[in-house]
Amino acid sequence: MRLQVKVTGHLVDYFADSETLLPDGATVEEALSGLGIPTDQVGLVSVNGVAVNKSVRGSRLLSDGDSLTVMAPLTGG
Amino acid sequence: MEPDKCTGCLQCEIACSFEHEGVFNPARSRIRVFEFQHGRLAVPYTCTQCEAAWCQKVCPTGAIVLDDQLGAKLVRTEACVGCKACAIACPYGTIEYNPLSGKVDKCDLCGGDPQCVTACPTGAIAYMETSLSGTTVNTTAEA
Amino acid sequence: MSWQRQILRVNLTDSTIRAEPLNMQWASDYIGERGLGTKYLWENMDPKAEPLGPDNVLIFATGPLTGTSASTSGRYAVLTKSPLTGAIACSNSGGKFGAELKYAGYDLLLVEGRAEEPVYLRIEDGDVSLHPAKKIWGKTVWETEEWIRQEHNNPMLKVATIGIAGERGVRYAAVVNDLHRAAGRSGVGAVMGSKNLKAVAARGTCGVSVDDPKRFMEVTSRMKDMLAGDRGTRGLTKYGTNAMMDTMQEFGGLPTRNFKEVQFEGYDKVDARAMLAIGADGHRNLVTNTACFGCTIACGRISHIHKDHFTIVNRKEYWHASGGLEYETAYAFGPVVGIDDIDACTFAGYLMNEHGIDPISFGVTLAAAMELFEMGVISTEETDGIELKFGNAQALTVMAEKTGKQEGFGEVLGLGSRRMCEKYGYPELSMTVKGQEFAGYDSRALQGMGLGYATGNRGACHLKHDTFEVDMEDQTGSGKAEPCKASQDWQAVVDSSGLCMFTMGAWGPEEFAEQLDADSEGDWTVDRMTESGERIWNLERMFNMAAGLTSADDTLPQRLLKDPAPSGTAKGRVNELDLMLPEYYRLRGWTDDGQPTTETLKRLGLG
Repeated sequence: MRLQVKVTGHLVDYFADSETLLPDGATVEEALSGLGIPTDQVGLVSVNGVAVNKSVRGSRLLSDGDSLTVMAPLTGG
Repeated sequence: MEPDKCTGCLQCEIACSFEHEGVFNPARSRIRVFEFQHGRLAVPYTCTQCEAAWCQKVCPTGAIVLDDQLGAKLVRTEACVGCKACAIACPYGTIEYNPLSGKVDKCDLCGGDPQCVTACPTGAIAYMETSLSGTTVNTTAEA
Repeated sequence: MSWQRQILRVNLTDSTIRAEPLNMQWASDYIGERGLGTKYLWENMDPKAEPLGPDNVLIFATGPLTGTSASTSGRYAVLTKSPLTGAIACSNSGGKFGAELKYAGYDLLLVEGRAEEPVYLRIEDGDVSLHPAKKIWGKTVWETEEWIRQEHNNPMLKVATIGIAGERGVRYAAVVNDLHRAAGRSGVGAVMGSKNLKAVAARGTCGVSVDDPKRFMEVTSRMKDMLAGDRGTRGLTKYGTNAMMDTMQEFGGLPTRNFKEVQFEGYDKVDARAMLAIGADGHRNLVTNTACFGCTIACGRISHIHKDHFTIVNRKEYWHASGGLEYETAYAFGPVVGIDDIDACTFAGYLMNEHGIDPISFGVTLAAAMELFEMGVISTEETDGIELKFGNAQALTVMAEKTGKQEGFGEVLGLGSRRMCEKYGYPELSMTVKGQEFAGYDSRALQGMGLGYATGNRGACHLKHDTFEVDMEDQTGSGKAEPCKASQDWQAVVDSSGLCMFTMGAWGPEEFAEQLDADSEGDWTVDRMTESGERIWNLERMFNMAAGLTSADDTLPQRLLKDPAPSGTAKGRVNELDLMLPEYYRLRGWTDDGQPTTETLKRLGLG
């Protein structure tokens, strides 16, 4: 399935914003892994503009055409 | 010493003063960082153990000697009388009179394990075989 | 023991300078820097004093770890009573000045009274004196540093100074040291100006030693490795704090156009990536990064402005590189005023450092002025012909300069948004808490941050608490009181240590405890430090209450309590302060009215 992926902050070092192909029926967690983004570097994930809680990253399924935003944690300053 | 990598953090000065004086005192460091243009450029600089060794040449008591193995010019403090001729002679300003001790201080490569190199977080200061650094030198001393 | 065990007391009224022993009991109870400075403030002045009057006290305080080999050992704090808020001010800065003050032999500098004529203070180890500042009164921060070094033939002097803004009492004037680092918030620069104190210049050759050097070196080395290995921290090195802007945009908490909105369409023109983008002509905003004293992170930005940009095309004096955009400056000159011109933002940032002004307060004050202008309340007659419309880059740059030099409408902007909005009859448009302007995190999107803003002892401040993680995960107000309180107490510890808070991504309480314990006499454990943090927080609160603040001041502007966020993850939400505040007071051991109970004060040794 095709996903539009956007990353923020220093996560650009792991993945550049682009359209990407992932196996059908991947979960958010699997997508992060597939994109090479370490989970401890993730602040929040949103799918189609809706936040996905940490606890459901392993179960939330993605569909073709979804837009996935992976946000870096906030640190203050 | 690669100024492009230097951020002006002064960990080298802190480490050098600690190694030689046992306290954190950049004022007594033998390596100095010079900042220019509002921090755009930061340049760490110390004695490069130059071949010309003007300090050694002008010293009236022979207090400055060459360590063959390191290629370093070292100050034998027991022979130094604090005349400051070396400080005047050095065109780089990297040998300095210390008013507290009455002698001069300069970089001695920490006996082969320069503390500034260990302390530098970016690799702006490195200690390596001259053949690896890409520098050509005439002296036989190899780091 | 890394304390010099000596403080400097300067009375500007009598022109007396005295070295006094450091109160070691206070150092033990309050750690240093912020905590120690607060205690010295509490014991040396009446919190009811006029902030711009001679009875206010101004303190420069270092921490135990300042000047040591620990990474980020350059921090110091400036404390006083704020002319912006009427509450305690504790403004933290880096650069090189703090370490230099310590090397000169002084843990803390306390300034009281008021000089009859402008003066500056010169500290060269034990040789300390006041000098007439007539020749530098009216000069910029950058000119002043240059002048003082030449005057005393000492290029090694580190200078903390005010600009014209501080001299003329701009309510949010800053103290700038080392050209582009600042004790920025709460108008500490105005207090310095009110005392006719232009600058403090220091050079120190005494050095700092620790109790157990071998252990200390081993511990700090290990800590440096931890920092170097932490990915988030490395992100700071590479991208600076402005890397947060696109996260805030995507999350939907980026205050835009005076907090009317929470996302800004032009964010990608002023964020970290924009600073790194290379234009067709090869120009890139960011030149390099830079570090404060002892810092192995080096988050500082050095930028330059495009040579053809309207702000500098005919002004050669600004063609050089200087301090670049931090997140807060970028937010205050970008989204909150609706501007997407990175060169204009960078230029205005230069002016903030050159004239000694807090960019956050300036930007948010300008935003309020823009809203008033668009409503037709302020006219171009008053603004010297400049249209204060959201998005007008010229409004930003011209007004930044006028505010710095206190000319024209800059005199109105220099009041800060609370006094300015009150003057025009629209106090609700001032986005402040206790009179201090918000930083770049919207409280409707980040609920716990809102609680921290409302209860912060120095007014709206984003640096005194950290609920980012829980706020991103849970966009409601529930369960936010506890992490807010806990982070406030721990932050007080870090602010008192002499180290920088940007290490907190890699170092937890154990790491701070280990370093402090290896540095200072006595046993420093996480528990002892946490309790000290709570003690510091409560003492600040006591100062504020004695100054006349009440729980009525622990609130947020109506816009954040009543107007829902129009977009983003928190779309439709308002800040749930009513839900969080009672729980917060309870956890703090305070009455429903926000006053520390006698029990709490006794437990902390405060009453």
